[in-house]
Amino acid sequence: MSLFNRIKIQTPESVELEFTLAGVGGRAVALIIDYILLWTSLLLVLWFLIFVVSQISQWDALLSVDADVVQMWATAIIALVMFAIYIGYFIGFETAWYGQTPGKRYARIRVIRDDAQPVRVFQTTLRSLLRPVDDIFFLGFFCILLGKREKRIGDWLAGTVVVQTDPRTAGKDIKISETAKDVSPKLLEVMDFGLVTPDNFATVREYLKRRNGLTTKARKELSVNLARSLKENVRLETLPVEMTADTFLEAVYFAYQQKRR
Amino acid sequence: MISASTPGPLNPGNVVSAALRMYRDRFKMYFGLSARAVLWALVPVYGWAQYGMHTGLMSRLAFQELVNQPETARDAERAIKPKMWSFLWLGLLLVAIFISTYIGVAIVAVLLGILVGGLLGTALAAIFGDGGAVFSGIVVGLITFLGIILGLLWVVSRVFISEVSLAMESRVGASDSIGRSWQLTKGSIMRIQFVVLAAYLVTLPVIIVTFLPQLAQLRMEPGTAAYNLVTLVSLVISLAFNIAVLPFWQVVKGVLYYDLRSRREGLDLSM
Repeated sequence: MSLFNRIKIQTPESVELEFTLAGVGGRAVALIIDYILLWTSLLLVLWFLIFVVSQISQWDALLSVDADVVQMWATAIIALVMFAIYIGYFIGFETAWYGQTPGKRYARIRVIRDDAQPVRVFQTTLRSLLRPVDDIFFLGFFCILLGKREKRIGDWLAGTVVVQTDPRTAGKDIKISETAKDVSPKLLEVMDFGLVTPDNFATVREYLKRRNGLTTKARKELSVNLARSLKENVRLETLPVEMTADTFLEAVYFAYQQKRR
Repeated sequence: MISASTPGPLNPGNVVSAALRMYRDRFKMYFGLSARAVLWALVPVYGWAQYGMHTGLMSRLAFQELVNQPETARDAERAIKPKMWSFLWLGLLLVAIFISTYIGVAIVAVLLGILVGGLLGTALAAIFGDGGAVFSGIVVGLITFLGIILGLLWVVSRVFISEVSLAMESRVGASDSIGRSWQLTKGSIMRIQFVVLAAYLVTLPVIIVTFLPQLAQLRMEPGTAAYNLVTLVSLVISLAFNIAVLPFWQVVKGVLYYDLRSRREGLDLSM
């Protein structure tokens, strides 16, 4: 069972890359966040501009211009500024952040070109200009839902596709305690690390990455279970020194990394 | 091991996408269960218990599929049938919780509103005159309103997946299931808001269709045959809408339950 659509892309260098498409849900989340931010800023700007204009129109005698003319120009300028923000929000962010907006960043998705190159101003402008068209009668929604490559009309014209950014990044945020670092050389002496499969290692890394989000009870049980299975897998009967399950897992992770360097 | 088939924690967007995919793939089964659930809901008491059980059933089927132990609807129903009355009890408990939360939050919000409003109003009225008092009234009213909404949202989110826990965990009764939901949703309130908002956005096109007959009625003469016909059509459409959308929400809850159990209990982690 595959829950998400995947596509293969041939880059200009003839490298084949595989991507997971963003999905209706991811794009809905991104849209909600972006529209909240966009409409809040539009309202604030509108409020500010109206305030400025109402101040200026009081000086019509000073400026020796007719109040009606000021009003007309003000309305035109306000409309232009609002339009620029509406279109510019997506163009600006997607161009500067390589296909991401604040919403897309939260939803962990990104716009790329059909050949997996990063989007440029040309693509982001087309996507942004066609956004209102896609919003009418949920046209874009149905295109995303029914199309194989989940493209809305703006994506078709700009030659872009929206994909997920890779969620499983290396364990940058894993904290290894000093005790575990001390223990790991001793483990290297007694443990056959050849028996630790990449899958085992990945599980240990996932556990260490996510352990702070676990309930206390789950964390205790899980660390003991993982440590026990790991010990069996590497046929380690006694530990070199006494340690908690968490320390053992940290030390294994640390030692495994050191070994690969 | 982390297999590709058990996805582990999902981000809010993927919860919704996955739910939509799973609902589409087993549409007939979910739609059939949902039709039964909605029709049962029309029968008082016994029917309500059946309705509650069917909602749990749909979420359970989604969860089991995610952990690679798919069940048939019949097997799942046999497994949770003994708990049917617990689902009714859970429903009553939840209603009681919502009402008491509403009352509690409203009292606190109004009291705070009066206190803050009184101080702010006096201060602003002294400086700006009547305009200041009106302004402070509006601000305090808004804050009170927001406070009530946020308080309710918070509680609703915390008990959001109770019926899934009741349908999944063998030793859990109605009140335990609320506790389980409370435990699992800790720290995930924002995530749940985005899941709900995105799921709502996805159903929006269907919701709009259900309003069309009522829009048409605005331009018709009440009491005419055409008007009554449209009323009938409108009823049928809204029934169909409820039947079609219920499984989607229940599958979303099933997926969310899976996601939260992965996050909070490392469900997907083993060696």
